[in-house]
Amino acid sequence: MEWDGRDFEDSLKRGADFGLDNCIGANACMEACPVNRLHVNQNELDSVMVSGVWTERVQTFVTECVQCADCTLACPAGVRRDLMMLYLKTQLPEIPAAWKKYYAVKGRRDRGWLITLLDMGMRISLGKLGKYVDKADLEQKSLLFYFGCYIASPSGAPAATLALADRLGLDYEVLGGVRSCCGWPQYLSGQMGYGQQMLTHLGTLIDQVQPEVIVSGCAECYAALLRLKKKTGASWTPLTTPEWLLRHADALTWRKFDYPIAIHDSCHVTKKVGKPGPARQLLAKMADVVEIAATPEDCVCCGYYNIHANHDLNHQLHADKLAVVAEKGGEGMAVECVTCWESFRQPFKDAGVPLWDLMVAAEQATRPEREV
Amino acid sequence: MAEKTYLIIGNGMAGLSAAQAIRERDRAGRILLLGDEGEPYYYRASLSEWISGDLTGATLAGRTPAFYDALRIEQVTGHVARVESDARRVHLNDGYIIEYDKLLIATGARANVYPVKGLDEILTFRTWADARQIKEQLGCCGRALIVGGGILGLELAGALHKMGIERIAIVQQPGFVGGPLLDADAAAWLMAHYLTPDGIDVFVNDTVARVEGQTAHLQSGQTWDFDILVQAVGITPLFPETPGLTVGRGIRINASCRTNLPDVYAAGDCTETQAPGTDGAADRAWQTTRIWLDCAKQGKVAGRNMAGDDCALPAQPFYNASVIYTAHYTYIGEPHGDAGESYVWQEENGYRKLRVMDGRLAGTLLLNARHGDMALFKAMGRPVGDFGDAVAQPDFPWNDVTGQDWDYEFF
Repeated sequence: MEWDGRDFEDSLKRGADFGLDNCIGANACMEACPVNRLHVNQNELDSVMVSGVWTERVQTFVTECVQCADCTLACPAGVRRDLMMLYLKTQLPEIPAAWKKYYAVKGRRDRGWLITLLDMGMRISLGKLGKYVDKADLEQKSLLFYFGCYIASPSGAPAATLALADRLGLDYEVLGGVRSCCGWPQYLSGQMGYGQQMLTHLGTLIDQVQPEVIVSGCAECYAALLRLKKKTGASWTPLTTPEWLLRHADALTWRKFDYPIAIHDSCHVTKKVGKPGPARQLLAKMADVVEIAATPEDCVCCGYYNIHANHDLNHQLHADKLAVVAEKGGEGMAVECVTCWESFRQPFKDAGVPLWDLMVAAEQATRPEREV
Repeated sequence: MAEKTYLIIGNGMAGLSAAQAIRERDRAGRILLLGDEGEPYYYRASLSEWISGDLTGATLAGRTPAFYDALRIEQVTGHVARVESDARRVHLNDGYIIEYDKLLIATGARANVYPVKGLDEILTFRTWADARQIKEQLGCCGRALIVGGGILGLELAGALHKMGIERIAIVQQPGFVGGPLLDADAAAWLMAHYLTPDGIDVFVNDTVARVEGQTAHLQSGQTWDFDILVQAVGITPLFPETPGLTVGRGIRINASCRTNLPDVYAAGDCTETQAPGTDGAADRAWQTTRIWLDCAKQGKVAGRNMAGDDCALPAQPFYNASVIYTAHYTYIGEPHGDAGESYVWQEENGYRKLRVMDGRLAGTLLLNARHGDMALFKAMGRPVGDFGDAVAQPDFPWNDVTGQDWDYEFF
């Protein structure tokens, strides 16, 4: 792989400059923002971009931006406000302490000893999945499941995904563990150096497998794979887990859940890549689908990238989500992205509302009777 | 070489954009930003949001003192009486003289005022001071009469409605509101779905004949009691006396934002331009600049060129997107007119009009249902194909026509 990832910052700056040149001052971006509790105005943001002089309001807002791209969807002038916000994240005068903690391991390949310890723990605690944690001897396979750091996700999505693949009799390789992190969380927080380091390393790991298809159940990983493919011209095709499973859906026998389930759209698949379809089609195979927003693009973000910045704000997003699910008649909610699942986990548990990762739901809905 | 002095008259969007652009290219030169409103740059396009309470004063101002310090932009208050371009200096009306190497005239425009019989002082809606006065005089629950139902009048009406003012009337001389942005059909949609449900009284084909006390007597014979009467009847470009400067309604500039005088540039509402790409073609009408984005773009181009670049305004179809009353709109190209075919889609939550001439997209007006507006912008001038009314539908796949999506290169 020849791409070194160093054009991250260049292309980001280009996107931000395009925004400065084409912003028409409608403020539609800020009106659409789900986390703009300070009512920051586009004008204030542009002022900081031009001068590099930060105000406390803008600094707070930039740390709280969840990178959901609602701003960009709302822009009547084609400005990528999400990229402008990301650019501002790269310029933040100080990194919030909570972020430092979050990235103490994630994306820090230089902290080898820490990761080795972590890997040891995961190998023991993950059972059958354990052997895939930062696997050294990757085999060449046409199907690659890419779990990255979410291999240890409490959602159970990785194990469910592999159970489905086994049920379908597929041959595959698995890439998981913090050493194979895609770098997207770092990148979404403006930590470009770490981001490009992780993504390019992921590229070399994928090269060892030489897959035709890479399947990921995390929307950020999926976005990272899209960028990697675009930049390296790789021949493999990235798929979301619902996209992948739909290709094999006819080979499985589906049972229906006895309650209607709402569908949550992830920002990185629905808003930024424009693929709201597969998750719905998959959910429809096992439940009555409840739409909770006027259009999939209107679905409000899980707030994950805010999780370490402002808890109150996240609690509000989660309370609003629970309310809209109930209002629309959903008795549970399904997500296609493990990050969304992790963000919603506690509030849904507290409220007693089932929260399904689509792979976990699909694994249950297609489990042969004798195993149930 | 001595450092250059850049003098910018006018601290609105055009002037500020120019100052920023100059500083990007010339780290050493002196930048003087001259304003005559007695307050730093504020975000004029959002005055209505300040009135409605959606924006605070700090947000409206938008630039902190530290911003000016960081870019070393010196703010000066004063009103220019005369520009002497031969001697490269300007005279302020308090007698001061400022010398410059490069001059930008970005003095904006003033609100038009028409005398009304029986009314001594007439309020307009142009400056922050105007907005303060409107808000103060109206209090919590006054009655407002807005003369002029164009874009600005409707914007004010929308702000006052959001602020909670219950009695608002608009008097409009031509037969429908919102011109020239709206045609009669689109205006009817706005009336039906916004103004009428909100209880705004609209008097069309009417004017205020005279005022007695707090009562306006309209030409039609109807009366309306008010606490404030605001005229929103257009703007006129405003610029200092400058011997030798070529002007029409505004200062005439080319695509590089240069005037006919050496080292004198102009940008913003005080200017007029010919349609891009037709510089020098005498038969093209000159049009005054009145769009915030155009002011910003002209300011940037002027600033860059003042600092030694040679760049020009991009040749693009007319484009604007903002708020009319409280509805969002996007306006591209020339959506109105008799020639060609027009296709309209309308529902309660949106109105879309597309105009096709010689099989090519010539203009569009979108109210609320603005989905795909950037794709439409890119599709301007391209063959539309034989889809009939379907082209006005919100879900028409414009990306298929343009072959581009909004995700231009980042992922």
